Amino acid sequence: MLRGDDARGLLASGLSHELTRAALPEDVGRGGRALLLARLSPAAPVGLPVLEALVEVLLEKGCDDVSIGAALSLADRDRGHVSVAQLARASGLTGRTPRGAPYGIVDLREQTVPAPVPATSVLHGRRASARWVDADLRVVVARAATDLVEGFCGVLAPLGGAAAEVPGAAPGDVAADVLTFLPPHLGVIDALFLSDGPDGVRLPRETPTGTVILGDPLLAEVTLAHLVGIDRSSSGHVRAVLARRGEPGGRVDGDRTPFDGVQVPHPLVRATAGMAVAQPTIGRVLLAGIGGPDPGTAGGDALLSAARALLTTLVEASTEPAGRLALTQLLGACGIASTQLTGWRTMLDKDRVPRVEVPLGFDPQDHPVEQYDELPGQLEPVLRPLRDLPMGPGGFRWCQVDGATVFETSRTVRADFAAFVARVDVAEGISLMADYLGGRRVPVGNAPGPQGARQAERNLYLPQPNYLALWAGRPIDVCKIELVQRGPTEHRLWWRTVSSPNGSATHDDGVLTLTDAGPGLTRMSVSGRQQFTLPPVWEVLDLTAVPEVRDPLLEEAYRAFFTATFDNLEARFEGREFRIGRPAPAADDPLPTAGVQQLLELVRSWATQQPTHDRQGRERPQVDADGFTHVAGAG
Amino acid sequence: MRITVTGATGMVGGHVVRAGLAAGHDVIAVRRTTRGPTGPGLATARWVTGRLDDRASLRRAMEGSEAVVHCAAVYAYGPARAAEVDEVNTRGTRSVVEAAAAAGVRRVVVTSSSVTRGSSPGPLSRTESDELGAEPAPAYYLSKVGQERAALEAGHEHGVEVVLALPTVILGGPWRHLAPSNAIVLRYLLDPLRTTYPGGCNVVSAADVATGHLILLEAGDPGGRYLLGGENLTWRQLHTIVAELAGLPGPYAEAPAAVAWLGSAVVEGWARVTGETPLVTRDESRSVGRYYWYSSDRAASLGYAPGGARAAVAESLAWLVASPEVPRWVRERLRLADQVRMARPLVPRELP
Repeated sequence: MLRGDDARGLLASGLSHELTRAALPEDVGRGGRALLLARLSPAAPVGLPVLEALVEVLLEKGCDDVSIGAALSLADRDRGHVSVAQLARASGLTGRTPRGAPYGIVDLREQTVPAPVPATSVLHGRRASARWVDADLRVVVARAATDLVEGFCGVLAPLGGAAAEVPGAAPGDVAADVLTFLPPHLGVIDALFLSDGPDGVRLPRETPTGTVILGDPLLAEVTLAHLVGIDRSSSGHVRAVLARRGEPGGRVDGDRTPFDGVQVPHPLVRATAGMAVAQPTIGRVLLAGIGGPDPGTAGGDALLSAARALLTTLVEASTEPAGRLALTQLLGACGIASTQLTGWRTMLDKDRVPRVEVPLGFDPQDHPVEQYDELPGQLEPVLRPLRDLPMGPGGFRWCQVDGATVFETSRTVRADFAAFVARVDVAEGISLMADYLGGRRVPVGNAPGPQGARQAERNLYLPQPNYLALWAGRPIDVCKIELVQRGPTEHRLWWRTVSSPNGSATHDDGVLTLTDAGPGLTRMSVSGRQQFTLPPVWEVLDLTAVPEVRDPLLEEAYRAFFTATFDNLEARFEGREFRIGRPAPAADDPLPTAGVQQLLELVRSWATQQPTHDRQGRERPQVDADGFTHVAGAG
Repeated sequence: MRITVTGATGMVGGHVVRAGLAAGHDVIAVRRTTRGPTGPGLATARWVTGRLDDRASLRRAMEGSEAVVHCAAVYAYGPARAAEVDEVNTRGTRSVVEAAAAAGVRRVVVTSSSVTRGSSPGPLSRTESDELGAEPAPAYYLSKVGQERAALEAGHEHGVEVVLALPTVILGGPWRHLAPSNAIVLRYLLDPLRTTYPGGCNVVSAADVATGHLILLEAGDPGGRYLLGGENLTWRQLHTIVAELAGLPGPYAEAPAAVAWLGSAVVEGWARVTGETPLVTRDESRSVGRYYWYSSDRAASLGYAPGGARAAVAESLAWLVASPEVPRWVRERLRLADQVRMARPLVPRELP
């Protein structure tokens, strides 16, 4: 970390220091290609002095070619930006530094290659920037800023630009995978003029600090959090990267004294903003409506302009208690609307729930193959209490063991077993279950036999029971190790939960069995042990003390889930569509206000249309814009 | 026997093809387009294309056949399709009989409807000797009366034996387009108030109706009408069966005819806004309060032995829940009885 007034001097000494520490590849000094992934998004793009100083220093260090690259995000588009070239112009980039050093300006998503990442990555099967992948030196550089939702923002957020956008993926997961599999060699946070305030990313406010943070991107990011005085975990990006990679290595050199007089978003405002943006549609409108219109953009539709006038005023005023109260109330109302909209869709309109993309969330190699192979032996004692229970109505039986629900349910269908398992692969069983939002499944090691398989999987389901979504219930998000067994009359999938990234489950272990139930019949059954985390309101209610209420609710929840699950298996066999949800908004989806605006204009045009003839069929006189009345001539 | 079946992609036609194949007949299945057969067990029939407004295509389809089962029809209510209903059901039937005569076919079984025998104000069963009276009669009813007349006249003119099959409310599947009969079951699933109505109807499974057609093909009197029904039920009894098999509550209140008419007007209006086919029409709701009860004794004397209403409703539910007609949020709230689960063989998709 460097402090001073001369950006070029700071970066020159910082880069020399990093090269000395061998953090940068040797090719850099022997004519390599350097790519600076820069956050150029208004209103807090990286400062021109820092970018140009970096270019000059890297050329001096021996790089042959230095380019500045950026990518247009959905948020950029929502604010009316149309190209990287436009962002670069707005940032003052010309392709040549004041000292005459040339550099290129590239849209990182113009040339892409298949992302060279393992199957566990959220980027698997996606594309990455060819320039980023091929660069000899990759540097990510961003302006230090505060953020209404994330608290603060440094070099982790721009990392997503190194790959094609992944609709439905959390930005933090994408950043974590870029950092893990396509890592920058260096992160540079430009805090010469910190953009602070309640939302410095969107409402710029320059507070001079004379600081540049340079080094490992994660370490740089958490150092920034320390300097601005915010808990690092307020940032979803930091949380995701820390969860993936653990504590950053290395040490921080330089003056670590927190910045003086920095304004950061109030925690209450951040909390309500987080609730509000949880629903993607509401989130897009809210974030596009703060600050701006950005230079060079049209300003958006009338609805967005109206929202912007209100939101910007309230966010600017939130530095004062009265303004903060007003903003919190507005964001709280949006948060409630967001929760209720999510709840409505979860319960009654599942086809409109956004699907999700996630990384595997754990390293399958952390679990020796013996752990996969031992799953039947581990789970059989867990499920043993079921043997003594009579089968209840609808083929469902259950009991409670150590606070978890141990259950079994089944359905027999008129389908030949061989035909059924040829079309319904038991290995896909988890993704065929009800309310599946998305996930990832990765084969592990060599198969334990010709008909078996080991696999690791992460899956997300809607909150269970669905009505918990109305109380901000979280999706069930669990990482599992699994074993597939296929025999002549029985196919089985065993699974055991190894972690729950969002803490939604303590147990979700079980077995899905497809059994030959006689000529033309197949039996599907699921046994398992589950214990999910309830929303705080429901935890307080503690229904375990009132079995008269708890039991029917529990039975109904299980029946609903597994009825839909077995329906899905039937649909899979018959080739019918069954999956819930729709893909998350893509980068080119228009802002929702634009659609509403078009609808309003249609209604207005319909309402203001004057009938051209009266009831008797006579032509009505028409009044033109100047007030003249035109009447039809005789004949 | 070689049999030509028109309307073979429809629910009744498909079952007639299946029953014919199962009985060892050589079945030529006629469809309007080259789209594949609907449902399982139809692949071994010989599929040909033919249209009711193209007599030459019908004749080609019937060449070499000893009998024809004419199931093709438009089953719909409401003024929007009244002309089409009359055109297809009346004129189309005449074309079929004339084409059969031209192809040398000696016998034609025509699928008509029990509604041609009218309805009763009270719970009384009607027979083949009853007629449609002065009660409210949607265009579909009248088209079926016209169809019977056209079939018998054409048969008389061309020397073809015509036997009229008069099924009641046919439940089951599979179908390509939801018909008003299965819509009766669907409406209860969608009705949050779980309403029922005064009056009643007779329900029968599509498979039983198909079997009845084959019986008439072999043993029906030329020029004769045969009611092919199942069980006479009040609407409340029918809705109770639906509720039990679907795991739903009710039925509760009994909506009088006027309320049913108003409700259907709302449904029709909304369908006009959305551009979708209404699930019920004012035309159809005029039958509320009357008893469409029938006796199948005449067919029974030939060996016709239908199953109960419960089995027919179970079949209907089994196909409905696998169709897009039942929205996900409704389907997930059903607790179907095992009888429903076992009422339908799963149809495997083709392996890639």
